[in-house]
Amino acid sequence: MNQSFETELQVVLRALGEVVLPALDGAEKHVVEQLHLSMAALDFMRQRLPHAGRFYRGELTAYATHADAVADLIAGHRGDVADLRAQAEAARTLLSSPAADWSDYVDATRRLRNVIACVVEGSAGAPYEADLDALVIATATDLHLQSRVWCQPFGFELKPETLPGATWIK
Amino acid sequence: MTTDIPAIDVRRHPDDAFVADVRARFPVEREIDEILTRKLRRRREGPGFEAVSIDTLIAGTRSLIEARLGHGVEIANARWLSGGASKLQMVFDLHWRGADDGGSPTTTTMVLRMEPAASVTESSRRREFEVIAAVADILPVPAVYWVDADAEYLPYPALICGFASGAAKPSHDPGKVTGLGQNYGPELRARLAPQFVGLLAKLHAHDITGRDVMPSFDRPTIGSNVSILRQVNAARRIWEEDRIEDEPLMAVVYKWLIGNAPPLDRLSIVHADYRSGNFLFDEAKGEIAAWLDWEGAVLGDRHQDLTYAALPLFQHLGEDGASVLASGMMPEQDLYDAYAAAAGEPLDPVRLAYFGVFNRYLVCVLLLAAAARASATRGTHQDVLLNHVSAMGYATLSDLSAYFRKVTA
Repeated sequence: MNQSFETELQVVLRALGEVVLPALDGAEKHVVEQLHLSMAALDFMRQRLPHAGRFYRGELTAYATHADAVADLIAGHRGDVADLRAQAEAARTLLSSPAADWSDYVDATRRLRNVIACVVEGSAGAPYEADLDALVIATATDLHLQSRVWCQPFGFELKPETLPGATWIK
Repeated sequence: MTTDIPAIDVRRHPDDAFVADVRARFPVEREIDEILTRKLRRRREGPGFEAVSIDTLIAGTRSLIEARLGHGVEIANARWLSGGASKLQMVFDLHWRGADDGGSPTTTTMVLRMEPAASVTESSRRREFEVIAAVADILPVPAVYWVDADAEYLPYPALICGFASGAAKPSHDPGKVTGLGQNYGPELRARLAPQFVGLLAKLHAHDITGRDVMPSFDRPTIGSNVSILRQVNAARRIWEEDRIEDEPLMAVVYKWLIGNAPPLDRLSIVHADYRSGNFLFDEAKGEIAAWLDWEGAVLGDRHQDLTYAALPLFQHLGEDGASVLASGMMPEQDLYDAYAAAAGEPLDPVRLAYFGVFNRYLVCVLLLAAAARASATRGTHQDVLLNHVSAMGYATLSDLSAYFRKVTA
Protein backbone atom coordinates (compact mmCIF):
# COMPACT_ATOMS: atom_id res chain seq x y z
CA MET A 1 0.00 0.00 0.00
CA ASN A 2 1.56 3.25 -1.13
CA GLN A 3 -0.92 5.49 0.57
CA SER A 4 0.17 6.50 4.08
CA PHE A 5 -1.52 8.92 6.46
CA GLU A 6 1.69 10.94 6.58
CA THR A 7 1.87 11.43 2.82
CA GLU A 8 -1.85 12.13 2.49
CA LEU A 9 -1.65 14.90 5.05
CA GLN A 10 1.60 16.23 3.68
CA VAL A 11 0.25 16.67 0.15
CA VAL A 12 -2.96 18.30 1.36
CA LEU A 13 -1.02 20.73 3.54
CA ARG A 14 1.25 21.67 0.66
CA ALA A 15 -1.70 22.24 -1.65
CA LEU A 16 -3.51 24.39 0.88
CA GLY A 17 -0.45 26.37 1.93
CA GLU A 18 1.27 26.86 -1.40
CA VAL A 19 -1.65 27.02 -3.83
CA VAL A 20 -4.97 27.75 -2.13
CA LEU A 21 -3.80 30.25 0.50
CA PRO A 22 -1.95 32.57 -1.92
CA ALA A 23 -5.00 32.54 -4.17
CA LEU A 24 -7.13 33.91 -1.34
CA ASP A 25 -5.41 37.27 -1.33
CA GLY A 26 -8.15 39.81 -0.71
CA ALA A 27 -10.66 37.25 0.57
CA GLU A 28 -12.71 37.98 3.67
CA LYS A 29 -10.74 37.66 6.90
CA HIS A 30 -12.79 34.81 8.33
CA VAL A 31 -12.24 32.75 5.17
CA VAL A 32 -8.47 33.06 5.46
CA GLU A 33 -8.63 32.44 9.22
CA GLN A 34 -10.59 29.24 8.78
CA LEU A 35 -8.08 28.03 6.20
CA HIS A 36 -5.19 28.71 8.59
CA LEU A 37 -7.02 26.86 11.37
CA SER A 38 -7.81 23.95 9.06
CA MET A 39 -4.16 23.68 8.17
CA ALA A 40 -3.23 23.79 11.87
CA ALA A 41 -5.65 20.91 12.54
CA LEU A 42 -4.21 18.87 9.70
CA ASP A 43 -0.66 19.56 10.80
CA PHE A 44 -1.56 18.46 14.33
CA MET A 45 -2.78 15.18 12.86
CA ARG A 46 0.35 14.85 10.75
CA GLN A 47 2.54 15.21 13.81
CA ARG A 48 0.49 13.14 16.23
CA LEU A 49 -1.04 10.29 14.24
CA PRO A 50 2.16 8.21 14.28
CA HIS A 51 2.17 8.40 18.09
CA ALA A 52 -1.57 8.03 18.78
CA GLY A 53 -1.50 4.39 19.87
CA ARG A 54 1.33 4.92 22.34
CA PHE A 55 -0.13 8.17 23.68
CA TYR A 56 -3.59 6.76 24.37
CA ARG A 57 -2.06 3.60 25.77
CA GLY A 58 0.00 5.72 28.15
CA GLU A 59 -3.08 7.67 29.25
CA LEU A 60 -5.01 4.49 29.95
CA THR A 61 -2.13 2.99 31.91
CA ALA A 62 -1.84 6.16 34.02
CA TYR A 63 -5.57 6.27 34.80
CA ALA A 64 -5.67 2.57 35.67
CA THR A 65 -2.86 3.17 38.16
CA HIS A 66 -4.69 6.24 39.45
CA ALA A 67 -7.89 4.23 39.92
CA ASP A 68 -5.97 1.63 41.92
CA ALA A 69 -4.57 4.34 44.18
CA VAL A 70 -8.02 5.87 44.71
CA ALA A 71 -9.50 2.44 45.46
CA ASP A 72 -6.76 1.75 48.00
CA LEU A 73 -7.41 5.10 49.67
CA ILE A 74 -11.17 4.75 50.07
CA ALA A 75 -11.25 0.98 50.75
CA GLY A 76 -13.15 0.36 53.96
CA HIS A 77 -15.05 3.64 53.66
CA ARG A 78 -17.23 3.09 50.62
CA GLY A 79 -19.08 0.26 48.98
CA ASP A 80 -18.33 1.19 45.37
CA VAL A 81 -14.63 0.32 45.45
CA ALA A 82 -15.44 -2.84 43.53
CA ASP A 83 -16.56 -0.80 40.50
CA LEU A 84 -13.35 1.21 40.58
CA ARG A 85 -11.23 -1.92 40.78
CA ALA A 86 -13.26 -3.62 38.04
CA GLN A 87 -12.72 -0.67 35.69
CA ALA A 88 -8.99 -0.70 36.40
CA GLU A 89 -8.83 -4.44 35.80
CA ALA A 90 -10.75 -4.07 32.53
CA ALA A 91 -8.21 -1.46 31.46
CA ARG A 92 -5.32 -3.81 32.14
CA THR A 93 -7.05 -6.59 30.20
CA LEU A 94 -7.45 -4.19 27.29
CA LEU A 95 -3.82 -3.14 27.48
CA SER A 96 -2.75 -6.76 27.21
CA SER A 97 -5.03 -7.44 24.24
CA PRO A 98 -3.24 -7.40 20.87
CA ALA A 99 -6.55 -6.74 19.10
CA ALA A 100 -7.25 -3.50 20.98
CA ASP A 101 -6.74 -0.24 19.12
CA TRP A 102 -6.46 3.27 20.39
CA SER A 103 -10.17 4.04 20.18
CA ASP A 104 -10.67 1.23 22.72
CA TYR A 105 -8.07 2.87 24.95
CA VAL A 106 -9.88 6.22 24.68
CA ASP A 107 -13.23 4.70 25.72
CA ALA A 108 -11.70 2.83 28.64
CA THR A 109 -9.83 5.94 29.81
CA ARG A 110 -13.07 7.91 29.76
CA ARG A 111 -14.77 5.30 31.89
CA LEU A 112 -11.95 5.48 34.42
CA ARG A 113 -11.97 9.27 34.47
CA ASN A 114 -15.70 9.21 35.02
CA VAL A 115 -15.67 6.73 37.88
CA ILE A 116 -12.82 8.56 39.65
CA ALA A 117 -14.62 11.91 39.27
CA CYS A 118 -17.81 10.35 40.67
CA VAL A 119 -15.91 9.15 43.73
CA VAL A 120 -14.52 12.66 44.23
CA GLU A 121 -17.98 14.23 43.90
CA GLY A 122 -19.36 11.86 46.49
CA SER A 123 -16.57 12.48 48.96
CA ALA A 124 -17.80 15.78 50.45
CA GLY A 125 -17.56 15.53 54.23
CA ALA A 126 -16.10 12.03 54.19
CA PRO A 127 -13.12 11.28 56.46
CA TYR A 128 -10.95 10.53 53.44
CA GLU A 129 -11.97 13.66 51.48
CA ALA A 130 -8.81 15.69 52.05
CA ASP A 131 -6.52 12.78 51.24
CA LEU A 132 -8.49 11.95 48.11
CA ASP A 133 -8.42 15.53 46.90
CA ALA A 134 -4.67 15.67 47.52
CA LEU A 135 -4.17 12.43 45.58
CA VAL A 136 -6.19 13.72 42.62
CA ILE A 137 -4.33 17.02 42.55
CA ALA A 138 -0.92 15.33 42.81
CA THR A 139 -1.74 12.85 40.05
CA ALA A 140 -3.25 15.50 37.81
CA THR A 141 0.01 17.41 37.51
CA ASP A 142 1.85 14.88 35.36
CA LEU A 143 -1.24 13.84 33.40
CA HIS A 144 -2.07 17.41 32.44
CA LEU A 145 1.51 18.19 31.50
CA GLN A 146 1.49 15.27 29.07
CA SER A 147 -1.81 16.52 27.60
CA ARG A 148 -0.13 19.89 27.03
CA VAL A 149 2.81 18.22 25.35
CA TRP A 150 0.36 16.35 23.11
CA CYS A 151 -1.26 19.64 22.08
CA GLN A 152 2.06 21.46 21.60
CA PRO A 153 1.79 21.51 17.77
CA PHE A 154 -1.02 24.06 18.11
CA GLY A 155 1.55 26.56 19.41
CA PHE A 156 -0.29 27.82 22.48
CA GLU A 157 2.52 27.37 24.98
CA LEU A 158 4.15 30.55 26.30
CA LYS A 159 7.33 28.69 27.32
CA PRO A 160 7.31 25.33 25.53
CA GLU A 161 10.89 24.71 26.62
CA THR A 162 9.66 24.26 30.20
CA LEU A 163 7.41 21.30 29.34
CA PRO A 164 8.63 17.78 30.13
CA GLY A 165 9.54 15.29 27.46
CA ALA A 166 6.83 13.21 25.82
CA THR A 167 6.46 9.94 27.71
CA TRP A 168 4.96 8.24 24.65
CA ILE A 169 8.07 8.73 22.50
CA LYS A 170 10.51 5.91 23.12
CA MET B 1 -8.36 13.50 24.93
CA THR B 2 -11.50 14.54 23.09
CA THR B 3 -11.18 12.46 19.98
CA ASP B 4 -14.71 11.23 19.54
CA ILE B 5 -18.01 10.82 21.30
CA PRO B 6 -19.34 7.37 22.22
CA ALA B 7 -22.45 6.30 20.31
CA ILE B 8 -24.62 6.49 23.42
CA ASP B 9 -23.98 9.94 24.81
CA VAL B 10 -26.72 11.48 26.93
CA ARG B 11 -25.11 14.87 26.50
CA ARG B 12 -25.49 14.70 22.75
CA HIS B 13 -29.10 13.56 23.04
CA PRO B 14 -30.19 14.98 26.40
CA ASP B 15 -33.50 13.47 27.51
CA ASP B 16 -35.98 15.15 29.86
CA ALA B 17 -34.61 13.33 32.89
CA PHE B 18 -31.08 14.60 32.18
CA VAL B 19 -32.31 18.16 31.69
CA ALA B 20 -34.37 18.05 34.88
CA ASP B 21 -31.44 16.62 36.81
CA VAL B 22 -28.92 19.33 35.87
CA ARG B 23 -31.51 22.05 36.50
CA ALA B 24 -32.20 20.69 39.96
CA ARG B 25 -28.58 20.07 40.93
CA PHE B 26 -27.16 23.39 39.80
CA PRO B 27 -29.38 26.37 40.66
CA VAL B 28 -28.56 29.39 38.47
CA GLU B 29 -30.10 32.77 37.59
CA ARG B 30 -33.52 32.60 35.88
CA GLU B 31 -32.35 33.84 32.50
CA ILE B 32 -29.27 31.60 32.57
CA ASP B 33 -31.47 28.61 33.35
CA GLU B 34 -33.65 29.49 30.40
CA ILE B 35 -30.84 29.72 27.85
CA LEU B 36 -29.02 26.62 29.08
CA THR B 37 -32.25 24.63 28.99
CA ARG B 38 -32.97 25.98 25.52
CA LYS B 39 -29.50 24.90 24.42
CA LEU B 40 -30.14 21.30 25.50
CA ARG B 41 -33.53 21.16 23.82
CA ARG B 42 -32.09 22.62 20.64
CA ARG B 43 -29.31 20.04 20.71
CA ARG B 44 -31.81 17.23 21.18
CA GLU B 45 -34.48 18.37 18.77
CA GLY B 46 -32.28 20.02 16.18
CA PRO B 47 -31.82 20.97 13.53
CA GLY B 48 -28.06 21.45 13.88
CA PHE B 49 -26.52 24.64 12.64
CA GLU B 50 -26.86 25.20 8.92
CA ALA B 51 -25.14 27.98 7.07
CA VAL B 52 -27.34 31.06 7.01
CA SER B 53 -27.34 33.16 3.86
CA ILE B 54 -26.84 36.87 4.13
CA ASP B 55 -30.18 37.33 2.33
CA THR B 56 -31.91 35.46 5.16
CA LEU B 57 -30.26 37.72 7.69
CA ILE B 58 -31.20 40.84 5.75
CA ALA B 59 -34.83 39.75 5.55
CA GLY B 60 -34.97 38.87 9.25
CA THR B 61 -33.24 42.07 10.25
CA ARG B 62 -35.65 44.17 8.21
CA SER B 63 -38.64 42.36 9.74
CA LEU B 64 -37.31 42.91 13.24
CA ILE B 65 -36.63 46.61 12.74
CA GLU B 66 -39.92 47.28 10.99
CA ALA B 67 -41.83 45.46 13.72
CA ARG B 68 -40.12 47.54 16.38
CA LEU B 69 -40.49 50.85 14.54
CA GLY B 70 -43.85 50.30 12.99
CA HIS B 71 -42.79 51.56 9.58
CA GLY B 72 -40.65 50.49 6.65
CA VAL B 73 -36.86 50.83 6.42
CA GLU B 74 -34.22 50.09 3.82
CA ILE B 75 -31.15 47.93 4.43
CA ALA B 76 -28.14 48.28 2.14
CA ASN B 77 -24.52 47.28 1.83
CA ALA B 78 -24.87 44.19 4.03
CA ARG B 79 -21.74 42.06 4.43
CA TRP B 80 -20.21 39.60 6.89
CA LEU B 81 -18.21 40.92 9.81
CA SER B 82 -15.42 38.66 11.05
CA GLY B 83 -14.01 38.50 14.54
CA GLY B 84 -14.78 36.73 17.78
CA ALA B 85 -15.27 33.07 18.53
CA SER B 86 -18.96 32.95 19.22
CA LYS B 87 -21.39 35.15 17.31
CA LEU B 88 -22.32 35.38 13.66
CA GLN B 89 -22.18 39.04 12.64
CA MET B 90 -23.42 41.10 9.72
CA VAL B 91 -22.72 44.79 9.19
CA PHE B 92 -25.19 46.87 7.18
CA ASP B 93 -26.37 50.39 6.47
CA LEU B 94 -29.85 51.30 7.68
CA HIS B 95 -31.58 54.07 5.73
CA TRP B 96 -34.23 55.53 8.03
CA ARG B 97 -35.66 58.70 9.54
CA GLY B 98 -35.03 57.86 13.18
CA ALA B 99 -37.19 55.96 15.61
CA ASP B 100 -40.36 58.01 15.01
CA ASP B 101 -39.87 58.22 11.24
CA GLY B 102 -40.14 61.99 11.55
CA GLY B 103 -36.52 63.07 11.20
CA SER B 104 -34.40 63.80 8.20
CA PRO B 105 -33.35 60.85 6.07
CA THR B 106 -30.19 59.39 7.53
CA THR B 107 -27.94 56.38 7.17
CA THR B 108 -26.68 54.50 10.24
CA THR B 109 -24.18 51.67 10.01
CA MET B 110 -25.24 48.84 12.30
CA VAL B 111 -24.23 45.31 13.27
CA LEU B 112 -26.43 42.28 13.66
CA ARG B 113 -25.07 39.86 16.28
CA MET B 114 -26.75 36.49 16.06
CA GLU B 115 -25.84 33.37 17.98
CA PRO B 116 -25.33 30.08 16.14
CA ALA B 117 -26.92 26.77 17.26
CA ALA B 118 -24.17 26.23 19.80
CA SER B 119 -21.49 28.42 21.25
CA VAL B 120 -18.40 28.55 23.42
CA THR B 121 -20.39 30.96 25.57
CA GLU B 122 -24.08 30.14 25.56
CA SER B 123 -25.55 33.48 26.52
CA SER B 124 -28.59 35.70 26.47
CA ARG B 125 -29.04 38.39 23.84
CA ARG B 126 -31.55 39.99 26.21
CA ARG B 127 -28.93 40.34 28.94
CA GLU B 128 -26.29 41.54 26.48
CA PHE B 129 -28.70 44.22 25.28
CA GLU B 130 -29.57 45.30 28.81
CA VAL B 131 -26.02 45.57 30.11
CA ILE B 132 -24.74 47.55 27.14
CA ALA B 133 -27.63 49.95 27.59
CA ALA B 134 -26.84 50.23 31.30
CA VAL B 135 -23.19 51.23 30.76
CA ALA B 136 -23.64 53.36 27.64
CA ASP B 137 -23.29 56.60 29.59
CA ILE B 138 -20.02 55.71 31.28
CA LEU B 139 -18.03 53.52 28.86
CA PRO B 140 -17.38 53.59 25.13
CA VAL B 141 -19.71 50.87 23.84
CA PRO B 142 -21.70 50.38 20.65
CA ALA B 143 -25.21 51.83 20.81
CA VAL B 144 -27.83 49.08 21.14
CA TYR B 145 -31.02 49.42 19.12
CA TRP B 146 -33.18 46.31 19.06
CA VAL B 147 -33.13 42.74 20.30
CA ASP B 148 -34.77 39.58 19.01
CA ALA B 149 -34.26 37.64 22.22
CA ASP B 150 -36.48 34.69 21.32
CA ALA B 151 -35.70 34.44 17.60
CA GLU B 152 -39.08 35.68 16.42
CA TYR B 153 -37.64 37.28 13.30
CA LEU B 154 -34.21 35.72 12.80
CA PRO B 155 -33.10 32.06 12.70
CA TYR B 156 -31.51 32.40 16.16
CA PRO B 157 -31.65 35.05 18.93
CA ALA B 158 -29.92 38.27 17.88
CA LEU B 159 -29.41 41.91 18.68
CA ILE B 160 -28.70 44.97 16.59
CA CYS B 161 -26.15 47.51 17.71
CA GLY B 162 -24.26 50.38 16.20
CA PHE B 163 -21.09 49.76 14.24
CA ALA B 164 -18.06 50.77 16.29
CA SER B 165 -14.99 51.86 14.40
CA GLY B 166 -11.55 50.72 15.41
CA ALA B 167 -9.14 47.81 15.29
CA ALA B 168 -9.23 44.74 17.53
CA LYS B 169 -5.67 43.79 16.64
CA PRO B 170 -2.67 46.04 15.97
CA SER B 171 -1.48 46.14 12.39
CA HIS B 172 1.90 44.64 13.33
CA ASP B 173 0.34 41.51 14.95
CA PRO B 174 -2.95 40.72 13.20
CA GLY B 175 -2.82 36.91 13.39
CA LYS B 176 -3.94 36.14 16.96
CA VAL B 177 -7.16 34.09 17.18
CA THR B 178 -9.83 36.15 19.02
CA GLY B 179 -7.02 38.29 20.44
CA LEU B 180 -5.60 35.59 22.72
CA GLY B 181 -2.02 36.49 23.66
CA GLN B 182 -2.36 39.75 21.77
CA ASN B 183 0.84 41.82 21.71
CA TYR B 184 0.07 45.52 21.25
CA GLY B 185 3.74 46.52 21.22
CA PRO B 186 5.42 48.91 23.66
CA GLU B 187 4.19 52.22 22.27
CA LEU B 188 0.54 51.31 21.85
CA ARG B 189 0.58 49.37 25.10
CA ALA B 190 1.78 52.41 27.04
CA ARG B 191 -1.22 54.39 25.80
CA LEU B 192 -3.85 51.66 26.06
CA ALA B 193 -2.91 50.23 29.46
CA PRO B 194 -4.03 53.19 31.61
CA GLN B 195 -7.36 53.24 29.77
CA PHE B 196 -7.72 49.48 30.15
CA VAL B 197 -7.42 49.87 33.93
CA GLY B 198 -9.30 53.14 34.27
CA LEU B 199 -12.34 52.01 32.35
CA LEU B 200 -12.55 48.85 34.42
CA ALA B 201 -12.50 50.83 37.66
CA LYS B 202 -15.17 53.13 36.21
CA LEU B 203 -17.36 50.19 35.25
CA HIS B 204 -17.13 48.66 38.70
CA ALA B 205 -17.89 51.95 40.42
CA HIS B 206 -21.05 52.45 38.38
CA ASP B 207 -23.85 52.31 40.93
CA ILE B 208 -27.10 50.80 39.72
CA THR B 209 -28.60 50.43 43.17
CA GLY B 210 -32.27 51.40 43.09
CA ARG B 211 -32.22 51.87 39.31
CA ASP B 212 -34.63 49.99 37.10
CA VAL B 213 -32.01 48.56 34.76
CA MET B 214 -30.85 45.08 33.75
CA PRO B 215 -34.12 43.29 34.67
CA SER B 216 -32.93 39.95 33.30
CA PHE B 217 -30.18 39.82 35.93
CA ASP B 218 -31.04 38.45 39.37
CA ARG B 219 -30.02 41.16 41.85
CA PRO B 220 -27.44 39.88 44.34
CA THR B 221 -27.71 40.64 48.04
CA ILE B 222 -24.79 42.34 49.72
CA GLY B 223 -23.39 40.16 52.49
CA SER B 224 -24.60 36.96 50.82
CA ASN B 225 -22.60 34.59 48.64
CA VAL B 226 -25.65 33.25 46.79
CA SER B 227 -24.88 35.20 43.61
CA ILE B 228 -21.35 33.79 43.55
CA LEU B 229 -22.67 30.28 44.12
CA ARG B 230 -25.05 30.73 41.19
CA GLN B 231 -22.13 31.58 38.97
CA VAL B 232 -20.14 28.58 40.16
CA ASN B 233 -23.18 26.41 39.53
CA ALA B 234 -23.67 27.87 36.08
CA ALA B 235 -20.12 26.87 35.20
CA ARG B 236 -20.61 23.44 36.70
CA ARG B 237 -23.89 23.00 34.88
CA ILE B 238 -22.22 23.75 31.55
CA TRP B 239 -19.52 21.23 32.45
CA GLU B 240 -22.17 18.60 33.17
CA GLU B 241 -24.10 19.41 29.99
CA ASP B 242 -21.27 19.72 27.51
CA ARG B 243 -18.17 17.82 28.58
CA ILE B 244 -16.83 15.13 26.30
CA GLU B 245 -15.04 13.37 29.14
CA ASP B 246 -14.92 13.88 32.89
CA GLU B 247 -11.94 15.28 34.77
CA PRO B 248 -11.42 14.43 38.47
CA LEU B 249 -9.66 17.72 39.20
CA MET B 250 -12.76 19.65 38.13
CA ALA B 251 -14.77 17.82 40.78
CA VAL B 252 -12.20 18.73 43.46
CA VAL B 253 -12.16 22.40 42.51
CA TYR B 254 -15.96 22.64 42.28
CA LYS B 255 -16.30 21.46 45.88
CA TRP B 256 -13.78 24.08 46.97
CA LEU B 257 -15.51 26.87 45.04
CA ILE B 258 -18.82 26.00 46.68
CA GLY B 259 -17.28 25.74 50.14
CA ASN B 260 -15.26 28.95 49.95
CA ALA B 261 -17.47 31.42 48.05
CA PRO B 262 -17.04 34.84 49.69
CA PRO B 263 -20.02 37.04 50.51
CA LEU B 264 -20.49 39.96 48.16
CA ASP B 265 -19.07 43.13 49.74
CA ARG B 266 -20.12 45.56 47.01
CA LEU B 267 -22.25 45.25 43.90
CA SER B 268 -20.56 45.86 40.56
CA ILE B 269 -21.37 45.26 36.95
CA VAL B 270 -18.82 42.63 35.95
CA HIS B 271 -17.96 42.38 32.26
CA ALA B 272 -16.74 38.79 32.80
CA ASP B 273 -14.68 38.74 29.56
CA TYR B 274 -12.54 41.84 30.14
CA ARG B 275 -9.27 41.13 28.32
CA SER B 276 -7.10 41.82 25.33
CA GLY B 277 -8.96 41.27 22.09
CA ASN B 278 -12.33 42.37 23.43
CA PHE B 279 -12.03 46.07 22.76
CA LEU B 280 -11.58 48.17 19.66
CA PHE B 281 -9.01 50.94 19.54
CA ASP B 282 -7.87 53.79 17.35
CA GLU B 283 -4.33 52.76 16.50
CA ALA B 284 -3.19 56.25 15.48
CA LYS B 285 -4.52 57.95 18.61
CA GLY B 286 -3.88 55.02 20.97
CA GLU B 287 -7.40 55.29 22.34
CA ILE B 288 -9.88 52.59 23.29
CA ALA B 289 -12.89 53.20 21.07
CA ALA B 290 -15.37 50.55 22.22
CA TRP B 291 -15.67 47.71 24.69
CA LEU B 292 -17.26 44.64 23.13
CA ASP B 293 -18.46 41.15 24.06
CA TRP B 294 -20.73 41.90 27.02
CA GLU B 295 -22.69 38.70 26.65
CA GLY B 296 -21.28 37.04 29.78
CA ALA B 297 -21.73 40.06 32.05
CA VAL B 298 -22.99 39.48 35.58
CA LEU B 299 -23.78 41.48 38.67
CA GLY B 300 -21.11 40.56 41.16
CA ASP B 301 -17.63 41.10 42.51
CA ARG B 302 -15.04 43.40 40.90
CA HIS B 303 -12.21 40.95 41.68
CA GLN B 304 -13.69 38.63 39.08
CA ASP B 305 -12.84 40.91 36.15
CA LEU B 306 -9.35 41.67 37.45
CA THR B 307 -8.30 38.06 37.86
CA TYR B 308 -9.85 37.21 34.51
CA ALA B 309 -7.80 39.86 32.71
CA ALA B 310 -4.69 38.39 34.33
CA LEU B 311 -5.29 34.78 33.23
CA PRO B 312 -2.28 33.11 31.57
CA LEU B 313 -4.42 32.47 28.50
CA PHE B 314 -4.33 36.20 27.73
CA GLN B 315 -0.69 36.84 28.61
CA HIS B 316 2.40 37.15 26.53
CA LEU B 317 6.08 37.74 27.21
CA GLY B 318 7.30 41.33 27.23
CA GLU B 319 10.08 42.61 24.99
CA ASP B 320 12.63 41.82 27.73
CA GLY B 321 11.79 38.13 27.34
CA ALA B 322 11.16 37.79 31.08
CA SER B 323 8.20 39.87 32.21
CA VAL B 324 4.75 38.39 31.59
CA LEU B 325 2.12 40.93 30.55
CA ALA B 326 -1.47 40.36 31.66
CA SER B 327 -3.83 40.93 28.73
CA GLY B 328 -0.84 42.38 26.90
CA MET B 329 -0.88 45.38 29.24
CA MET B 330 1.36 44.99 32.30
CA PRO B 331 2.51 42.38 34.83
CA GLU B 332 -0.27 40.95 36.99
CA GLN B 333 0.71 42.67 40.23
CA ASP B 334 1.11 46.00 38.41
CA LEU B 335 -2.40 45.54 37.03
CA TYR B 336 -3.80 45.04 40.52
CA ASP B 337 -1.86 48.00 41.90
CA ALA B 338 -2.95 50.27 39.05
CA TYR B 339 -6.58 49.22 39.50
CA ALA B 340 -6.45 49.82 43.26
CA ALA B 341 -5.04 53.29 42.60
CA ALA B 342 -7.70 54.04 40.00
CA ALA B 343 -10.51 52.70 42.20
CA GLY B 344 -9.21 54.45 45.29
CA GLU B 345 -9.42 51.36 47.48
CA PRO B 346 -7.27 48.31 48.11
CA LEU B 347 -8.04 44.90 46.69
CA ASP B 348 -8.87 41.93 48.89
CA PRO B 349 -6.22 39.18 48.49
CA VAL B 350 -8.69 36.50 49.59
CA ARG B 351 -11.15 37.47 46.88
CA LEU B 352 -8.35 37.75 44.33
CA ALA B 353 -7.33 34.18 45.14
CA TYR B 354 -10.93 32.92 45.03
CA PHE B 355 -11.74 34.47 41.69
CA GLY B 356 -8.34 33.43 40.36
CA VAL B 357 -9.49 29.85 40.92
CA PHE B 358 -13.02 30.54 39.69
CA ASN B 359 -11.90 32.07 36.40
CA ARG B 360 -9.45 29.26 35.71
CA TYR B 361 -12.22 26.77 36.42
CA LEU B 362 -14.63 28.67 34.16
CA VAL B 363 -12.17 28.82 31.26
CA CYS B 364 -11.55 25.08 31.56
CA VAL B 365 -15.31 24.58 31.33
CA LEU B 366 -15.65 26.80 28.29
CA LEU B 367 -12.72 25.28 26.42
CA LEU B 368 -12.81 21.61 27.39
CA ALA B 369 -16.59 21.31 27.52
CA ALA B 370 -18.51 24.06 25.68
CA ALA B 371 -16.10 24.65 22.79
CA ALA B 372 -15.33 20.96 22.34
CA ARG B 373 -19.03 20.04 22.37
CA ALA B 374 -20.09 22.85 20.05
CA SER B 375 -17.53 21.88 17.42
CA ALA B 376 -18.12 18.13 17.80
CA THR B 377 -21.85 18.60 17.27
CA ARG B 378 -21.36 20.86 14.20
CA GLY B 379 -23.09 23.57 16.16
CA THR B 380 -21.52 26.73 14.77
CA HIS B 381 -20.40 28.64 11.70
CA GLN B 382 -16.77 28.23 12.74
CA ASP B 383 -16.38 24.76 14.24
CA VAL B 384 -12.74 24.71 13.17
CA LEU B 385 -12.05 27.74 15.36
CA LEU B 386 -13.83 26.31 18.41
CA ASN B 387 -12.05 23.00 17.93
CA HIS B 388 -8.77 24.91 17.79
CA VAL B 389 -9.36 26.87 21.00
CA SER B 390 -10.63 23.77 22.80
CA ALA B 391 -7.07 22.41 22.58
CA MET B 392 -5.98 25.33 24.78
CA GLY B 393 -8.02 23.69 27.53
CA TYR B 394 -5.17 21.43 28.58
CA ALA B 395 -2.86 24.36 29.30
CA THR B 396 -5.65 26.01 31.30
CA LEU B 397 -6.31 22.76 33.17
CA SER B 398 -2.65 22.47 34.02
CA ASP B 399 -2.66 26.10 35.16
CA LEU B 400 -5.79 25.50 37.27
CA SER B 401 -4.06 22.58 38.95
CA ALA B 402 -0.92 24.60 39.76
CA TYR B 403 -2.82 27.71 40.88
CA PHE B 404 -5.22 25.69 43.02
CA ARG B 405 -2.32 23.98 44.77
CA LYS B 406 -0.81 27.37 45.52
CA VAL B 407 -4.04 28.88 46.85
CA THR B 408 -4.96 25.91 49.02
CA ALA B 409 -1.45 25.16 50.34
